[in-house]
Parts: sequence; structure tokens; C-alpha cells
Amino acid sequence: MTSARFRHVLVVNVHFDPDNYGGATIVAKEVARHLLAAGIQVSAVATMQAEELPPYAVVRSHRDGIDTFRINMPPGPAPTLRYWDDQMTARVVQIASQVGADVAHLHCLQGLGAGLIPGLRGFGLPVVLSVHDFWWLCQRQFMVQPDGRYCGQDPVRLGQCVGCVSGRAQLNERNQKLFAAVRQADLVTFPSAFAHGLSLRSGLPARRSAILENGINHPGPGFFDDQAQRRAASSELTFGFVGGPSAVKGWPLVREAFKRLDRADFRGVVVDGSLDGSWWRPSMFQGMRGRWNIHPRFEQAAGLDQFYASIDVLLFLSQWRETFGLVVREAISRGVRVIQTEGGGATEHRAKSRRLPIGASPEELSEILGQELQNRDGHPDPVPCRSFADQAEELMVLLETL
Amino acid sequence: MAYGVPNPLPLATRLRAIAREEGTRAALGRVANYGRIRLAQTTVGKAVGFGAAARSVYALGPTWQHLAKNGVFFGGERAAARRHLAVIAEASLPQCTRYRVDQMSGLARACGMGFSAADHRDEAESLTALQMASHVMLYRLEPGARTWMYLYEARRLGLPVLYDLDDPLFSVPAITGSQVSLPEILTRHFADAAPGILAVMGACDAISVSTPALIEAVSAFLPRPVYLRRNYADSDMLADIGAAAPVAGGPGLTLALASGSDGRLGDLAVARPAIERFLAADPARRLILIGHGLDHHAGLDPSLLRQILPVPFQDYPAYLAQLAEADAVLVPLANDPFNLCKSAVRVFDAASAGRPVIASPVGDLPAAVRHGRTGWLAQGEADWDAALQALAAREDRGRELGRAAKAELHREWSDPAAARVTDAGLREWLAS
Repeated sequence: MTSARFRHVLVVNVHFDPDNYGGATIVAKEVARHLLAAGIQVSAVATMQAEELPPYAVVRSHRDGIDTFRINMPPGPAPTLRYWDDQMTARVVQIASQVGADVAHLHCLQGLGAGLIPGLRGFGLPVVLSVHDFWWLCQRQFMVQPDGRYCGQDPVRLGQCVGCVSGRAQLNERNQKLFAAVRQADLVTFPSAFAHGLSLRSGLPARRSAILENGINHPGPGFFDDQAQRRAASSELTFGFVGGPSAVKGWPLVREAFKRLDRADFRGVVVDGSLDGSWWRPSMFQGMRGRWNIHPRFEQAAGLDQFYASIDVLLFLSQWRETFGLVVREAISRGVRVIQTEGGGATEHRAKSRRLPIGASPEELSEILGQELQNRDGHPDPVPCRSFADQAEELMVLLETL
Repeated sequence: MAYGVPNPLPLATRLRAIAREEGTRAALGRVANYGRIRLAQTTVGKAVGFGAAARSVYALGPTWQHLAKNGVFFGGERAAARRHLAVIAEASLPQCTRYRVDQMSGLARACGMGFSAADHRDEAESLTALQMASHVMLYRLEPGARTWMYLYEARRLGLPVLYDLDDPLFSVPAITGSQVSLPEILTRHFADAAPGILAVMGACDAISVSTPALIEAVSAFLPRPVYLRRNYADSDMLADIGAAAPVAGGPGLTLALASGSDGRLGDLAVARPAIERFLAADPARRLILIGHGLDHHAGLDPSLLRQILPVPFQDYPAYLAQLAEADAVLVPLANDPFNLCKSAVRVFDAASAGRPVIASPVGDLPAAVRHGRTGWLAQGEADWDAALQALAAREDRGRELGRAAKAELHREWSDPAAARVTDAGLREWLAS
């Protein structure tokens, strides 16, 4: 299907092609790609950080039918802390006007600012806001406290955030501005029931909301053959870890758990998602059992299947309750086992995964790892997950209702 | 890895050549760069961090590299196929900006295009304008890292580029042949700048200019399409005068003479004796000198000083109001290669104020003056005498000619897309 009402969607996310990092960026880009395939013109807006260029200068690039306009952010605080920027809003409205967009689909607005919602509405565009994390509720974005622990509030109450972030007055102002902006969105979508429930219970004033579950790219035609071939060629179980070596992604837990294993007849693979290959070094695996390698970053269009064909168990040990968990769906749809932390949108799937509570000890994980190593050939059947094409189609249905 | 010491003799020869061709400073700069590169290739250089990459001379340099590494260097076919003209202008001269930049917006809109303009010194706005454009016009840009960056960015984005100018700044013969009385150092400065401006023009796809004579001048240098885009009567010119004039006209016949640049005394030479005689014949007559470049009462006979009223240029409405205080507007121009390229804007200004001109038949002025009906064309001293006497002989003080000039301005010169104003080729280029 295509949209009868809208011919040109302006997709806005803090990053976009060619800067493809983060799950939200993948979702924004893949949905945009499928909207384009459905006959809707797409232009994208994102940010860039080029110190040589003046603030708010725009650079356009183009790939596969989509123009990306990246706006240079002014120097200053980290994008997460930038929640309102009138000049950025003016620039995005200028782009919307000049490309002739007739609806805006906003994703992560860190660095761009929530002012885009009233700005684009004022320009006359209906606005759909797709929430991907807790930036709208939490100044620290992931509800992870400075000591690295998940704060666990449900609902989120600003009074309890004092001490976690500096300045109650500033926090109140941020909250008021963000909520006032959300109130103007025509539709707010969430990728999971968990994100939807927590946000609304915390007072996010969406006039209209919906759960728009994210899609994934399904395994390609040769994937299961490659997977079977690899498994037949090697008896070693292979663990995979996607993300940086940070506490919030659970790497310290993984490292300590693997140090405690009493066997080493397995492999481990970590994916360096950084743009410059700077996240991982071999020394980071020191003391861990098994043979560990660094897998280079891959794109959705190339290398995704190759990575999943090379692993048997995905380690998804995020120390916050993620709103979705793209890699979990990618893994279960490919018959890859998942060991994951409990709760959040990452567990809203139909596969049987091994689960630990957030904050579990290395010993608990180590025990599960040992069990998986004992059950080397217990590969699960693939669990169908919805595709980006499905997600784009649902979005188009929602657009018709605006 | 070991690096041998290079033979110094060829290097010294090369250095001498650079110093000779580009100057000592450029040569020393090359030495410093060479040393930096050589040292960076050694263990010592790496250890001390010497030879770290210098900043790109282009603000977009690192961004271009980033796009190239990610396989999205070229802008590709524009997904948004809206036609939109982006103008990047040398905008330090308000009058030039008005005629060549602001008036271009009228043409673009008449051709169904969007329009945006930015001062080339404002890189954020200039670069942003490029990203959303389908066509680009560079107005009067001189060579330099910023200009080359804009041009390269336009090429990356696949945009056709037009260069626009309204003076023969690229032509050494026109600059040195000018009778404008500029200090020699300034003439040399302009002449030295000419090859660079020509290089920028040569890097563009097409040229647009303000007069037929400029087309010839450009064509003598460049095998590029050259289109005529005359200045025209825009909405400001066609509006009723709403401002007050700084000084009032006199009871006797009053003339006005405006100048927007230095060294215009050479232009006045052809008319000066006639003007002096005209003023001397009646002490009630006045000459209003507007703007700058006509210091010391334009070199007129000191006995006439009480009849000469210098007025600074304020803004366009006040300028038109000042012209309307006169009975006729003088536009003398020396017959030189520079003035051959002059447009008729002074005639339009006078017509807008409802006043006739007495003008030299130089440049594009004859295209805008109908002798005896909307003003007078005066070539030599005798013609200037005759024109001023004709004005003096009219009981209506030239008002009927002024009204005719204004009517013709509305009728013939107000449509930016009219064939008389803009070549069909340029309209086609904008539609491409």
C-alpha cells in the first residue's frame, strides 16, 4: 500500500545515513527505505558534528533515493543535554519547506531539540513522534544513574531524579518544555508495551499514542545454509556480543562471568559498532576463557547475516530496561539463542530466552553460560518477527488516521 | 622505515622558481610544509607528534572526506526535484546587491523557481542554500578558498553554476582604459584581480551580465554561454515615493547628479562646461550632488558653490525623493571601455521619480532613453548645452518627459522575464 494523503515524509533523527549508529537510527533508516519503496518520497534530517563548519550549516548527501540533510551542531554540551534549540528548529522547518514535505516522522531528537514538534506543527505539518528511549522522561536518557545502576522508577517522578542530575529547577524546566512539545504531536508511538506503559504512567502527555513495534531485516535466502554449514564444520559454541564495552550494555558482567568459567572450548565474538573501530582492543579479553575476536562493524544491508551465522548464543545483558532490543529479534529470527536481562521491551517476544535480572552477579551469568556450553547442540527454531516492511505499512495506516 | 636525504639542488631550483612566480612568502610556506611532511615520515616526527595533519583550507574538507569514505560523496539525483535558485553573493555593495541579487529573485520567481540568497562570507547560510538548490548563481565572487569550496560543493551536488557580474572586472583593457580618476594603486589592484575573477568565471557553466557590451567583453575571453540579464524596474522602483527628500529643490531649474563610487570626475568632464554655463546663467538654478565620489563640488567653478547642494546617499526611497526634487537628472559618462558596460539604472531611477534624464549615449543608456520624449541623449559639449537649453525652454520644466519616462518604465522595463530584459537562453538555463 501507499499513503493517499501524504506524498513526502520528512524523517528526522539525531543520526542518519551515512552516520549509521544506534538502533533508533537503523529503525529510522529502514522504515524510511520501505516508505520509499511504497511510493512515498522521503527526505531525512539529522545532525553532524564538524568543528570546521559553522553551526547550523547543512550538508546534503544522497543514497538510494533518499536525501539526507545533516545540520552541524553548535559546540557545547553533549547532544543528550540539548533539548531545545530554536535555530535548529528554524533550520529543520526551512528544509521541510524547501523539500516540500507534507508530514514529519520524528525519532530521536537529542541535539535537534523538542522544539521541532511545535515548529513543524506551526509550519502546518502533521507530526508523528516515535519514542525509542527514555530521553523524554530522563535527562540521562537511559534511566541509568551516574553509578551505572538502572534507576528502576515506575512511574518516573522528577522528585526522585534530584541527585541523579544537577539542578531541580533546570530539570523542571526541561520536563515542562519537553512535555509541552509532546502534547503538540499528532501521534506518539512506542516500540513496546513496556515503553508505552512506563511513559504514560510517568505523565508523558501524548494526545494520541500507539504501540508501533519495530521491525527487523529478515534473514536472507542463503542464511540458514551458511549457518548449518558453519555449525557442521565446528563443534565449538560461539557467543556474540553487540555493543560497546560499557557498563550500561553489561560488558563488565560478561567479562567477569567468562573469567569464572572452568572450560575454554568455545569462541566469543564482539562487534565493534564504532565508526572508527576504536571501541575494542584484544587486551579487553584478558583473563576471559575461550577464544575471543573482534568482528568489524556491519550494516543492515551487508554483513548482518554473516555475523549471525557465525554465532550460536547472543549475549544481551543490557543493564537498563531497553525499549525494544533490535538485536534480540535479529537473533531469535535466525535461530540464535539469547541470554538476556529481564524486563523491558527486549523481552516482549515469543522466543524462549535465558534471562537474568538487571544487576545479576557474574556467578549467576557464569552458571547459565556453563549450562549453554553443556547443551551445545540445543539450537532453537527460528521465531518469526515482524519486518521493517510490516512496520512501514503499519505506519502508513497510522498516517492515514492523522 | 628509513628515508634518505634528498638531493638539495633540484629542491633549491624549485624553491627559486616558486619564489619568482609566487613570491617569497609562498616559497617559505612550501618549505615549512615540505619540512613538516618529511619530519612526519620519520620516527622522530611520529614520536613528538610533529606533522599532525594541518587543518584543511576548506571548511568542508573533512566532511567531503567523510562522505567519500562512506560512499555518498556525490549528491546524486535530487530526490526533491523542486527547482530552486541559490545565489551566493559578494554583498558588500548594497546597490549592486539590489540589482543583481534581489532582482534575480524576481526572475527566478517569474520562472517558477524558489529563491534564496546568502552573503558569501556567511558560510552557514551559503552552504545551506546550496544543499537545497537545483541551480546556483555566484555573484561577483573572487577567487579564494571559500569560493573554490562553494564551487566544488556545487559540483559535488551536481548543480549547474551561473556566474553573474555587472562590471568588466575580469578585463584588464576595460580597467586600464577607464577614465575614472582612481589612484594608480587602485587601478593596478583591480587589474591584478582580473585574472582571478576570470578563473572563477571559467569554472562556471554560464555567465550572465547586465549589458550587451559586457556580453562582448566576456565572449572575448571565455568560450562559455553568456546571457543578458538587464537590471529592471523592480517593485521598489515602481512604488510611489513615500520618503521625504533631504533637501528641497530651488525656485529655479534644479538638476541632480548621483554617484555611488569614487573617481567619477572623469565622467563629469564631458558635461562640466555646459553645466557651469547653465548654472551661471541663473543664480536661482541649483545642482544637487547625491552620494560620494564627487568631492570638492565635483570640480565645478568655485563661483557656483552656493548653487551646489551636496547630499549624502541615505537609502533608496530617500534617494528617489531627492531626484524628484530636481527637474532633470544628469547621467554623464566618459566614453571608455569600462563605461561601455554600464547599465541604465540611473535612467530608471530618474524615471521612477518621474524625471527626465540628460545622459551620455554610452553603455546601455541609449536603450532606455528616447531622445526628446523621455529625456535627452548628449554626446559632446554642444549636445549638453542643447539639452540643458531644451530643458530651460520648457514651461513644464520637463515634467511631461518625466511622466513619459515613468510610463515607459512601467510598460517596458518592469517584467524581469521580458525578452528585452532577460535573454531567452537564460530563462531556458533556469528551466533546465
